[in-house]
Amino acid sequence: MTYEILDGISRADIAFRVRGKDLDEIFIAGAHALFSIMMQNIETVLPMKSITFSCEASDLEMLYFDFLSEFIYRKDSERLILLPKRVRIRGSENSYTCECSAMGETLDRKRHLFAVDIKAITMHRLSIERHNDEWTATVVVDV
Amino acid sequence: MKTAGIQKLNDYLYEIPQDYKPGMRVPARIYASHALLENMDNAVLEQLTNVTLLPGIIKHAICMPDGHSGYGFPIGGVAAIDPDNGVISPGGIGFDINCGVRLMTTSLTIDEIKPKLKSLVQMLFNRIPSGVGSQGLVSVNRASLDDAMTMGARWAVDNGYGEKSDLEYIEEGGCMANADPAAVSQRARDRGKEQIGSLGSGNHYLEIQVARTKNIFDAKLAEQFGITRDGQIMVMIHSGSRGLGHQIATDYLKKFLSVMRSKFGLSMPDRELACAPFMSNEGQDYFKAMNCAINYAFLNRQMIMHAVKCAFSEIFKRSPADLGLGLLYDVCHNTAKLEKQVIDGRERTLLIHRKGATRAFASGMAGIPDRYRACGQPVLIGGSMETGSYLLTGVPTAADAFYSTCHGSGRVMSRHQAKTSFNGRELQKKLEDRGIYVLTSSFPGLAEEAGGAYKNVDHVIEATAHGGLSHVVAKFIPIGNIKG
Repeated sequence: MTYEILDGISRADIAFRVRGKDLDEIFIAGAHALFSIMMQNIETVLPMKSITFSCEASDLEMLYFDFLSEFIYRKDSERLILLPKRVRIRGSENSYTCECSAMGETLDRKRHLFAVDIKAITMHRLSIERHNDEWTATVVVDV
Repeated sequence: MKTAGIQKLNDYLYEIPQDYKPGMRVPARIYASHALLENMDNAVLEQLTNVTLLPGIIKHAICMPDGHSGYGFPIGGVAAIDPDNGVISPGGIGFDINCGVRLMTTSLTIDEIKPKLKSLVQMLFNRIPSGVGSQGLVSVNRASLDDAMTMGARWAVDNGYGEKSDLEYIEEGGCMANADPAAVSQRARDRGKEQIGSLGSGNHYLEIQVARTKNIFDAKLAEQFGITRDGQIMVMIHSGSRGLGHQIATDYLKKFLSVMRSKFGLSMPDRELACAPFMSNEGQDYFKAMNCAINYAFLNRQMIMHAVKCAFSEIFKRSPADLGLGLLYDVCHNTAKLEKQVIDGRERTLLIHRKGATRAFASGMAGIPDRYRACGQPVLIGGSMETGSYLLTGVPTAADAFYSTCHGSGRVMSRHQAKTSFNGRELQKKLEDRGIYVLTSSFPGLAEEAGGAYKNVDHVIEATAHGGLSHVVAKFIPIGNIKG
């Protein structure tokens, strides 16, 4: 999973962009980007626990906001570091849903070294775009 | 920053006229020297002029000398809104509600602390939770969390974490009225319940500082604030409302986006400027929830201060009172508050949004502790860990800025640029060679906070003073730091 850090959008916070061949891919890549930014080595996260969750929203960008926010919420509330394994996006026009299965483990400060915390996903310049066969998502996160 | 179209009002104040872009309700102003203005990023201009589009904004949107781009408002952004006809916007406050700074005095001097500095910093690092995944000093159940969100720092004092007299030296007495836990979601509670008494990460820190006579710019005021000796040790705490505040902002950003157009007919160019009429149910619910987060942050810094007192006491084997450990003041950076201010000769109640900006009441104004009433409100400016921090006071000329001032150095490099320019471990070594002992839970995080990533704090303070925003009292030099 690769992501690109975008300079010039926010000096205080961090902007990134992910690419994929479909929506499922950019959703999965976005969550990986969150933990790649936060952690020094995302490979230290072992698939010990499995969870599923779903979200729904009136547009794709709001759905993306909700989806990414779920990973931040679980990190703080349940101390879980989770990475999505499978994502299914459905819907059109005014109603979208996302079903996600994710795997990960309880945060262990001895093994999981962090670079920085992400406090929240912002809506600032959040965009999901399609150009021919490529999808991109651009996100600014508050750190 | 591209300065075309920006008018110079004086050497430290610039105005972006109302016709700069369509829809601006008022002009925008930037307090800065020419050099600081030129070095601000272009996104500041875009974000600041977006602020002028908020319904109910009066006079002008303002950016402070430490301004830099964020989301919604720029960091350093201030807007005064008419609460009867205007809006409240989470993007004008930020996700880290009541991120703020607390300054403690001690009677210790640098000569006394030097032999024990490393063991003291190590103990503070061990005792005060910092970094991602750290759990707070106390864990609370639902009822206690409700009390904590309602009572703020008072909850800490009632539970044995500090003195009743501390409360007087916290902005708003450490407890905002109009805080209603019923407006706070379960998700926000889930994120906040284990984090009371923790620093967090990013730019949050705890710093041991020294006040040198050569860095005291107003000795009389410094004495009023308890700074009386050359080499006196101070302690600064920078933290906020942790996951609770972040989730409250997230929840209401979503809520406002879902109703602002359909219910209120509002639209903004940046969804981070989502807003709702202040007097609407949605606006009031956010205000009540935000006040809970403000209280949580006051409580958080109070708990951290208590842990600092315990650590000093253990290391020096003397009581906190004997070590002169006391609270000088505690200020908020990210808030929206109802304040009475005189505008064009008429007293009005305004909803002042400050995001990365500090309230700075002038001498004689209500809301300043009695002991400081004649001095003006203390203003605490956290600089980078390499350069130093400042104590200022509020002044009457800041009325033009709704009694607001700067809050820190302000970034000159993005976090990504800083991480590629500095190495955390090398920086730690370099700082130790300069007499600044730093411990961190994240070396990449340390690199992002390098002094070179920030504006020169002296230049920011110079512009703040010359711009008529505050009066300079003292500068403190860091000697020990814990980075979250």
